[in-house]
Amino acid sequence: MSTPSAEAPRRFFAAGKGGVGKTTMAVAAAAFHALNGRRTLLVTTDPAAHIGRVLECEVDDEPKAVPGVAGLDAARIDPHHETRRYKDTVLLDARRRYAADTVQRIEEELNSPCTEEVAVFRRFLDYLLTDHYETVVFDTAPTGHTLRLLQLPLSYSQQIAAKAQGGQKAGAAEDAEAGRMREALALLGDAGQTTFAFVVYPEATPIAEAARASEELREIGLETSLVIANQVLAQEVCVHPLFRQRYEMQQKYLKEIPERFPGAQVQRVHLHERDVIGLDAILRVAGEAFGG
Amino acid sequence: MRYLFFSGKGGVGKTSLASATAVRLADSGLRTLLVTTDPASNLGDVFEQAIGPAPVSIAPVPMLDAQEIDAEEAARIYREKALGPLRGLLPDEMLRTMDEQMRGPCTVEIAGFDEFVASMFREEYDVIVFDTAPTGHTLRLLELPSAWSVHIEESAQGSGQTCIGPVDQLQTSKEQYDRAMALLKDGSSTHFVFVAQPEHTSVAETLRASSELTELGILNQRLIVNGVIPAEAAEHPFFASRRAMQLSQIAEIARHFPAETLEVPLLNGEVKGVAMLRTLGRWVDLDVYAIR
Repeated sequence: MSTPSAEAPRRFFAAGKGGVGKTTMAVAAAAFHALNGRRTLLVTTDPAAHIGRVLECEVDDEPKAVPGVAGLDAARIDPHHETRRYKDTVLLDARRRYAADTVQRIEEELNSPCTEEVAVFRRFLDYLLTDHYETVVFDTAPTGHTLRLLQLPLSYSQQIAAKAQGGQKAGAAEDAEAGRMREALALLGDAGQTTFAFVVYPEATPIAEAARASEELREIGLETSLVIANQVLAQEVCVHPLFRQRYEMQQKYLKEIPERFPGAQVQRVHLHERDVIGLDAILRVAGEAFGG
Repeated sequence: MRYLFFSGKGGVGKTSLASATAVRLADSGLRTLLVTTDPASNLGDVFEQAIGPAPVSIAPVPMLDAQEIDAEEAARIYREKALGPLRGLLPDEMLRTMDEQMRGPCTVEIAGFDEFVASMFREEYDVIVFDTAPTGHTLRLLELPSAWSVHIEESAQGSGQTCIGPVDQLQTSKEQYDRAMALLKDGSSTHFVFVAQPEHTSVAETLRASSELTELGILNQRLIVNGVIPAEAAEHPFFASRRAMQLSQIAEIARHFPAETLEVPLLNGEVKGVAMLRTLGRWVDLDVYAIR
């Protein structure tokens, strides 16, 4: 249990829509790697700090040790706080450069949902590129759209300024973040170092939504290497006809998953009797999801 | 005219319940239209017949029509209309930037909402059931100081650019947007129906989304808790324990949700075909939406 595995990823993203157990899987991955001897950081963007509930501890803006799991720290990125901070920075700069009506349009453009993802990703970059931890686990993943936006020749704030001026070219000041961004994309695109894990229920809608998001990431060179089918019914508890039939339905979708996510490993995590709360429950889940 | 908007995360049973409700309303003699903009919803699978971007009649339900709006396609058409005339006039780098900015969730959500609004003013129906609802985020974009209607006016005088392209490409007018927003807030014509699963994450998400609408002055909310394990299927201790957990989550959401709630039991499989929709529809009490 103490030898760091050569196969352990440096970076792990739990991807997928809300409510399918992404946070639980991220906590399980982080605990698993920490207990395997890797210095691990768990990063959450969940405003409700669900991670704190699962691990039964406080999670702060700065990395803090998780009691009971040696080698594991956890930190929280507050999307609202980051978005506000990012908007303030962009607007402060805009007021120095542009006329009032342009600044107002920039302010409106900054209300786009993309802004939150971009602001959070900029904070992600610090944790993504850190040397302080061997493994960093994120309980959410950037979308293809956000990564494409950030790969454009102009920085996000320059794009917004250009648009607010009705298509005029913005000042081509070299963005200091551009180099970090290239480094980050190289790391994200290296399947040997980064794992994108989609979490799904074995049902039609969650699989269709995850497959679409995974395809979008693949188009920019990011491969999904793991799919975790969550809340799988164990055959032996399905004695009532209602659950026998649901069991059959799940089995049908479990067969479909490998076809929808070519090249990805598929792991099953069973529906548990109680909510996954506390370290024992987390380690049971980790055993199913990452135990081989 | 009455409107029902179904709201909830993917996989909670939103499309099934919206469809069952629409069938129930049509069976009670009301001319009913069911509309989706969710690319994952697949009404064609649910009704086992082809449905497209224009309303089609559902053969076994005489008073029911259904329509699948492709919001991604609507967004693509806007992009093309907005960028086409600029090709050759602006540098390619700028066009690429604008193109990517108009690929975000903002454009797709608002393009979808633009289609919603067009559907809302169809005269030939008594009730329109939307299987997707605009989020608080979209409504805020449309409502607040940098609001859509304000944005349209300002853009018409200024750069001519909105989040989704030049103003003259919008199919609905400012008057229609204002009327639509007034209707959304009017409890005598519109209800927002949240669909949640009796689990901690889903309950927390739903309460958050609900309070977002409340802050916007949309108080006409209803709640369906879907997937409740029936007592008779909970004989096995495993499901008895899960049912007890579900009941405590139902009590929790009922304590905080601002309106009546309805419980719908877990069914034995996927909801497909009109017969199964009628079975599910028996659990949907039309009084809940104050429609008779």
